[in-house]
Amino acid sequence: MREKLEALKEKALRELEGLDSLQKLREFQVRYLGRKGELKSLLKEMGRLAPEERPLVGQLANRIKDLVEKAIAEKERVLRAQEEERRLEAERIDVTLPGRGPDLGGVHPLTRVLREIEEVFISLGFQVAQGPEIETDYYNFEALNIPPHHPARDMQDTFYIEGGLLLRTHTSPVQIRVMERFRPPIRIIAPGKVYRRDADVSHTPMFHQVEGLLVDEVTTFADLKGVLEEFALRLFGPQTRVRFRPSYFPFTEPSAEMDIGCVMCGGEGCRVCKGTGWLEILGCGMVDPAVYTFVDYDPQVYRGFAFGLGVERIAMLKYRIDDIRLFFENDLRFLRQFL
Amino acid sequence: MLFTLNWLDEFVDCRDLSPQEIAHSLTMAGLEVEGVSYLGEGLERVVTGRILALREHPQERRWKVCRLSLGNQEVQVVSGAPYLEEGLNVLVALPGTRLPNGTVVETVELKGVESQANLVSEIELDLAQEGEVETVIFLEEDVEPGQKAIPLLHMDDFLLETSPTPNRPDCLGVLGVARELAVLLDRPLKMPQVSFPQEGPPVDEVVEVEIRDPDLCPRYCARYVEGIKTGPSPLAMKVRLKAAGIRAISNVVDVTNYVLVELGHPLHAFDYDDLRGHRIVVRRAREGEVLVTLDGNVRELEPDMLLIADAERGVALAGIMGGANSEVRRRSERILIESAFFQPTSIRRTAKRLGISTEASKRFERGADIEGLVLALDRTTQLILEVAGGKAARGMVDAYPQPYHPRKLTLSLEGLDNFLGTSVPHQEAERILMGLGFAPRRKMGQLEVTVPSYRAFDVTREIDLVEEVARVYGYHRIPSTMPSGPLPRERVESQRSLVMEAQALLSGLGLVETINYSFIASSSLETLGFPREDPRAHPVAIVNPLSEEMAVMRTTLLPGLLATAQANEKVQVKDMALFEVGHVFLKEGEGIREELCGALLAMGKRGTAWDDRGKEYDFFFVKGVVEELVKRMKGGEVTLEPWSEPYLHPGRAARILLDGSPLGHMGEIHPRLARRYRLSGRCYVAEFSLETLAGGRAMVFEPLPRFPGTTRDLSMIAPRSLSHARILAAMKELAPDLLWEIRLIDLYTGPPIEEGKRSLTYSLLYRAHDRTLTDEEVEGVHLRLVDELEKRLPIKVRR
Repeated sequence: MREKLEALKEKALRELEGLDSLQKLREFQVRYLGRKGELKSLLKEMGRLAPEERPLVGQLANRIKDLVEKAIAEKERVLRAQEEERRLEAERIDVTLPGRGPDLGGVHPLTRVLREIEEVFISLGFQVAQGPEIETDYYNFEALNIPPHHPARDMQDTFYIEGGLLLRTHTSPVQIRVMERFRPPIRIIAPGKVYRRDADVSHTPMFHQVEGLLVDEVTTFADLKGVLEEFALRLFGPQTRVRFRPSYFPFTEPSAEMDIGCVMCGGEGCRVCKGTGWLEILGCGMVDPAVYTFVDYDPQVYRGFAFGLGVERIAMLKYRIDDIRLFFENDLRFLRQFL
Repeated sequence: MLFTLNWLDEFVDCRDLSPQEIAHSLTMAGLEVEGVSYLGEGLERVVTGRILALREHPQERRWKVCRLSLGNQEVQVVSGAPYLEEGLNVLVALPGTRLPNGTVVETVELKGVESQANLVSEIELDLAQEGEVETVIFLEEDVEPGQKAIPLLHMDDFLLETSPTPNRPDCLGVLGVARELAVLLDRPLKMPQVSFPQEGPPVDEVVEVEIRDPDLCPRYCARYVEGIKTGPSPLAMKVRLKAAGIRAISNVVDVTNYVLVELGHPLHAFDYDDLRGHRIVVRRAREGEVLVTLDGNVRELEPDMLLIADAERGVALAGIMGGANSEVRRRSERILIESAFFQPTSIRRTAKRLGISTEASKRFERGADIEGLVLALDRTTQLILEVAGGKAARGMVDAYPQPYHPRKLTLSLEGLDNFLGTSVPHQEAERILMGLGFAPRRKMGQLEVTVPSYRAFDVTREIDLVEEVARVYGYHRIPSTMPSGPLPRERVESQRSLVMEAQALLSGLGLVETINYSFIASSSLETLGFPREDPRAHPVAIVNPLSEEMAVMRTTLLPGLLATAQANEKVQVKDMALFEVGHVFLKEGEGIREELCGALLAMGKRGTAWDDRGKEYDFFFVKGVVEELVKRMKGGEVTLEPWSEPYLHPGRAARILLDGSPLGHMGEIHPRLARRYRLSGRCYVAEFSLETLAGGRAMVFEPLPRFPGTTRDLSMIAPRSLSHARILAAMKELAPDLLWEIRLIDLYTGPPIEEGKRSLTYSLLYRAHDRTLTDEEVEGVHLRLVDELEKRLPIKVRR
């Protein structure tokens, strides 16, 4: 009996060794350990044994049963692992196929640059103001100290519309509108579309400007320099060289033009900077006292500065775009470069 | 303005500085120098040569074969120029030279004879035109052969191009630029010394000047010169005029132009014998009066235009251009030279109205120097006597009905420092104003100044003096600081966040932003076909548009988007989803309303991924975008109702309503319009008022459901004419309390569903807020809903 049990064990373990699927393992388990399995049928012969031998043989049979069960469990673990491995192998994908990203759109490059400009000034305490694109002569010129027949009107060729109105030639009228509504201190920027009767590689009849105005009782020309320098450094990087050059605008006095070191050639002189190494970025100046009289501010008390910059120009420099017309042609091959 | 460095050096010593240094100094003081170039550029291989021998060309009798000495070498040149003689000195351009008129010099064979260089005339140097000169340039006898020609041609010089700001007419002359440079370099200004003999008759005996309109002409001076001989100007003068961009004509006219550039004051010379009555009358033009100007154009004058007339007729358009009837010509012997002051606004208006802009008008309209015009007159007379001979009359006519009173101003030095945010040394401020001609006197922390006549128009207030000091002192010497003033408390309203949110959402929903011009062709609105009563059919028109394509302000964003779609199709980009956010301009009563709108356009293939085949943009994509946008920005309920818009497919057009109020329109572009725009596929658009979405959406937390819900699907066959909206409305109306959500999950048309019908499947979510529903409860509620729905609607529910 003992021998038979031992033989059964050997046979079972040997057979177990060769099993290669969970299905066969189940069959194996039933065949050996099941209710009608080989072990059970062997144990039926127990009755023939001497009574004193029975417990010993019983113990042996239980040990063998445990042993085979453990071996089965171990085999099952191995087979499951192998099976999973096979399945995973079968699920292999080509990871080099393109990703299926959602089709995101995006904003226009001018919007992108405009936001950057706005962020700088907002962080310096400026608020955004707006005004109409169709303006009166008063707001666009007269209140900005540009009376009729002033030579400065030549600087900006104007589109007129019916009824004596015009398309604003700059965002400066917003200065006047804001000063009419609020008392100092004032810190605003006014981004928006402006229009001039001009069209070539570097001019489009519509473009975007950002106007700025700061008025209080203590601001100096040095503050104007400080704020605009900060702007240039944040927009074009901390290495940017900045200079201020005297200029002329009827609504500022003293007036200046801010240049930055050419972003194309680094100041060596190239086609873009016309060999000067400098690029004109914006016009600015201390608000001309004559302007205050139009909005009923006391020029003896208040002072401040104003500036105006072209968004297209800055976008062209930042992204090295050489033709301003591209912004308004809306060629998707162009726009998608900036998404 | 264009001038040369040597010219400038006549008024302020500056030859020790490089042209770049000078350009930089002027630029940093507000007189921007836009270009510097060498006048002799390209003429390095032009040298002096002496004619050693001449012989006739063997085949061409008009040509001469010259042997020339160039000092250490000889060359042979074939030339057709007359008057060539042995021993004469000429200019020889060697091969490799490109002459100013474009002639390229090379060794060539001319009918069998080699010509190794070119002889140079004023034509090649672009100093004279064909027919104005007879032959090549002959040099003085003592010129040695083989010398560089550039210095002899007065071209060893640099050309500077400046663009003075409109407030600085004084910098439209070399003298004015020199004054700036002198103060910048702290060097003396050398005023021109002018003197000349006055050997003619007393001026009062030969001419009489009457100013009838002193408001437009407060001063008119004139001198008379007789016995002049007109002819070409000296080479040096021609070179400088050419550098200044002015073509040489003849000595008298050239001198007036030369002085215009030099002193910045325009002058005019009349042929005295053409002045009827030998009188000058300065008056406004008469109604219907006509003048033929020097350029040959017939000018019809208006009564507010200032005219220079003689006893009978107009002889010049004051301050703008002379008349053809009194022009100085080759036979002129007696001339009258005018130097006057004209009121800037009047000149500007006349020039603008007649569409003329001349060197003279440019200066007068910005403000000439009423005191400086005598110097200009004397300098002109002096130079005319030098180059054209003759005798000047004794004395000068000076009609000056409104004498100039110089303005006095005071500059507070403390105020200056406070304003600039730095401290400018007092002596420095004083020196600057002195150098600029303001004759400052220091008095108790103030500078009292007298404004010079050449700055009368632009310096009228203390702040103008601040600017003068600041710009010459140097902006770079003023520190950069941060404003120390208080921040504003009041909130300024703007549409920024509205626009930004729309841009962010639409981008995230897969659309690309475009920016189109605000002006469109009025025909593009006609193409859309708005009826007369539609305000979009009546755009605001531009009076002076650049082109028909940009003639009116847009009343809708669609023409811009459609044009963009068309342009992209042209470059084979056929799949697109675009948007624009911007203003449209609508007439409203007497006024114009600028409304902030948003518009979308989608066409072509939708997915770009490799397994996205077959997905196309459609009506419901655009609708979904609009719904999502509104949901995120404003909340509320978006509904669409079938609508008719002339530019949309009649069966696929809708009006967008937000909580029942109109928000915009959307639909598929009408095939007729799609063909007009050459769109290859179906194109879907939406346009809506963005302003209406302002104000943000109210967000209030809603407690999360505490009990699970149960879903039931409801499939039905319904006639196609029965809209989803009606089915939904019916369900909502019947909605038992327990119904939380209704979603359409499937829609099917086609066999086996019979023609004219469709199958719709809804998923209904049932839930109670206070307990878990039992199956029986849900079943009961759902069946009652189904029964009721079938009674109300012509549908058949599939059970």
